[in-house]
Amino acid sequence: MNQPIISTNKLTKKYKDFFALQFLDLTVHKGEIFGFLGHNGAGKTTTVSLLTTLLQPTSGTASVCGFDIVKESIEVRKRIGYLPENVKFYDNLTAFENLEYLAKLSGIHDPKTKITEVLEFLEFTGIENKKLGEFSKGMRQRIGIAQAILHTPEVLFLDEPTSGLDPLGIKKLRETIIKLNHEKGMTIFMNTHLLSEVAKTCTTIGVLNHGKLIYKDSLTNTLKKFHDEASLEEIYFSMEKNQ
Amino acid sequence: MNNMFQVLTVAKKEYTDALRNKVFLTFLLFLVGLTIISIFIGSLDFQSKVSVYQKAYQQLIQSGQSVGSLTKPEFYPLQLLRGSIEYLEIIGAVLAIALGYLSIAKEKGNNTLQLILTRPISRQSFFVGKLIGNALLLLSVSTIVFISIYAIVTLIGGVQLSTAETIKILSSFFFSWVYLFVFFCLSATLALLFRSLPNALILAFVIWILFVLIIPQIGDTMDTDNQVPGGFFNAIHVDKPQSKIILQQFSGYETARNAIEEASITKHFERLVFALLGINPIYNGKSLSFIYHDKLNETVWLTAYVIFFGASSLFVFTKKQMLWREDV
Amino acid sequence: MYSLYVIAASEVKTLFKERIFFILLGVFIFMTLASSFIGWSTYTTTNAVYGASVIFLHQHGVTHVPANPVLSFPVLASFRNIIVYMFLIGSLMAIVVGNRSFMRERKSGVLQLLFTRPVSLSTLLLGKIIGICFILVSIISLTALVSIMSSYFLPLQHLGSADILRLLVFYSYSFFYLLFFAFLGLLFSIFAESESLGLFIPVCIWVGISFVMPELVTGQTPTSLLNPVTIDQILNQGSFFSLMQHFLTPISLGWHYTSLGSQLLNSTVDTRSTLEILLVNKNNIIVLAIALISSYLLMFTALQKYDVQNDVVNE
Repeated sequence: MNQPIISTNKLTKKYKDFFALQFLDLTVHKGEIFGFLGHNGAGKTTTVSLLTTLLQPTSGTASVCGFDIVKESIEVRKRIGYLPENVKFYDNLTAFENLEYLAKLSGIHDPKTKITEVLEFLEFTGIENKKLGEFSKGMRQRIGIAQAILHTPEVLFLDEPTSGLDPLGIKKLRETIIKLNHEKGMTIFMNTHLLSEVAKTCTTIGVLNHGKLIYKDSLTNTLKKFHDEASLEEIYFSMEKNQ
Repeated sequence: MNNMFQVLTVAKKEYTDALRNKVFLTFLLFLVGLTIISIFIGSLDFQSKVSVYQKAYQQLIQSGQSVGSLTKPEFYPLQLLRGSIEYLEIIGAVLAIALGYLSIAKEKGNNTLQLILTRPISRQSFFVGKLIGNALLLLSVSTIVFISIYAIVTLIGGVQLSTAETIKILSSFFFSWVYLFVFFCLSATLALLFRSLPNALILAFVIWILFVLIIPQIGDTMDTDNQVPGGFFNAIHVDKPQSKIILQQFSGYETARNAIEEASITKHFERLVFALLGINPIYNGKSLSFIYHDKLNETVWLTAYVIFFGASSLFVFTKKQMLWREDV
Repeated sequence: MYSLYVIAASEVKTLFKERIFFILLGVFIFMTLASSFIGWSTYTTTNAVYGASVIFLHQHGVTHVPANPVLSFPVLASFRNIIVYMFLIGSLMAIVVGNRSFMRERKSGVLQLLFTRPVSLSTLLLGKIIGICFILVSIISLTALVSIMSSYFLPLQHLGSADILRLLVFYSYSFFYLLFFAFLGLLFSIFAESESLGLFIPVCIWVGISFVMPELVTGQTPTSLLNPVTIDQILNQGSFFSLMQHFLTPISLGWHYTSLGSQLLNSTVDTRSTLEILLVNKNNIIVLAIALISSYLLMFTALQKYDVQNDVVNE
């Protein structure tokens, strides 16, 4: 658990005059479940977009699994899985067809076995031939996770995975994340608002405020440090307030 | 090896997506239907010309007059394809525009690019896959159209086409495919460049109207001989060779008129294919090598267009940060 | 009444904020100017060619040369290319204007808010139509103004008051023709399942009206119907075409437009008055009116059946 699997050095993203992310220095170690918190527009999604090579940084560097996100982007993508916020698919295709296409693009030549394996792991079978357009939000999220783990990535990026889910859906997602971390050894990087879920799922938390990282530590240390605050929610609000 | 596999995966998906797409299938049906109708109408038109000729011939014979002034309509089967080629120019181009637009719109609109571009496939490979898939699709479209044409002329029309004529049809088929591919690339480029997809589609239509319909029409409108029904030179009793000599004094105007027409890819395609199929009667019975030699300009223009637009679309796709945060 | 005004004004304001509308308008105005210039240039060149032909023929022993057929053409004939541009770009613009009207609101999801306001469907539709009419009138007025003004800058092209009146009648007729396509755009924007389909279907119909029907009626190939000089002269007389003419001519809107436009703009020598031309073509005008009313009724029906809660618009 000591090797950094994600490492950034003054990572910055600027849009015209606006800094979406400012000089981010962040390290996430292998095997962690990292919860990335922050207000709306703090830069969490920008961070994930940079680390998943969807965006190019304005300045600074970052590496994922030891590969530079700019110079070695293909190598990075071989080793990551990504679930975007409000994941979209080809609605006119079935779940299987969507997964098959994405699996092949990940370099899996025989995706059928892999798809079956992943859907069984997620306990989400029997829906393969249903069109994605007919899926509920919760079902889409599960297919979203399925596509992200088809190629057994080392790091799984989840952007607001609980967004729009009902309590049962949130519970199922939490269990899946923990299972992926414990059984498959995946490092999880999760953007979220849901402090209750962070408290139940994450091993480490980071807090972003207006593009700047204002806090990072393990959950255990955080709860010890802010012993006056009763819950993670109060800890979080006090951090934001001090900024 | 893996790269090729990924490229072919994308290409296959493009192909199968189009076959499920109502817009594409509607236009394909429309195009094939119109092709068949226009051959049918062309043959009816020819029949009515023959009928008019025969009536005039009988009247002249009965009145004891000479029939020397009558022009006997001559039947060249490939000339029946004029309407079909024009529909290919017009509707085929719209179909290709639809494909180019849809190819990009389904990724941008669905935001599925986030899932694809976090896969170990480069942007170039992904887009090359799209180009290959759609090129094959357009090849299929051209094949369907030309098979329909061939079937109607030979099987239903009972016309025997010589080897030379068949080869000319195959050449026309090839250039039709090139022509359609240009419009595909143009439309895809616009869909990539524009933030708003409907605006990209509208602009593609505007370009289509300008270059497929209006610019060729301007050239025809500026033709001095077209100013009067029946022909201006005919009205003042000047024959074709004499008119050419007279028009040499107006080379500036003719050059300007020609330059306007040269701007249209449709005009180049039309000139080449009309020569190949003998729709332009000057080229009736001429060899393929003669036609290619005479129409080298058109071949060069078509090749230049397809290279330019193909390269542009690839360049724009790979260079532009076309993602949800910065683009949509 | 106030709701009608609010909806119509919103329609106009929203469209005037769209860049694509101004691009289309710019292209259209440019083509109007080009039409005037091309008409003038062709007219003067043709006259010069006639002069050169006379000299040539005299040099070759021909003593009697027929009169210059083009000289007898009225000034308005130089503007006839505008028929083609109105027919092509004008129709496309109208489809876009109609399509954006409803599609924009469907995509944004704002209809859920509109439909819970105390505004009836007929008011909503009428308000949109008024807005669209205002936009089309603005476009056509601008085009007419550009045409008329350009005539004063080009030598030998000055329009008299009778010519201007004839031109205005042509543009008025064009307004109603374009309105039909705007209605088509609006109709399909109500129930098309995707934005692209909402545009493609009216374009298909436009191609059918503009090229296929005239081809079935005249037996001519599609592009030959874009020549305003010969458009009225090319009716084929075979039995198939007679049959087609019998059934299709009455409803062939594209053919009517180019034919009537050509007559109004005196593509050839025509001594009839404007009123006579309109009366001779009254059936064409009636058919256009029926088409407009039918499409309005279809739009209203489509709007009544529209399911705002479950609406999804794809790209």
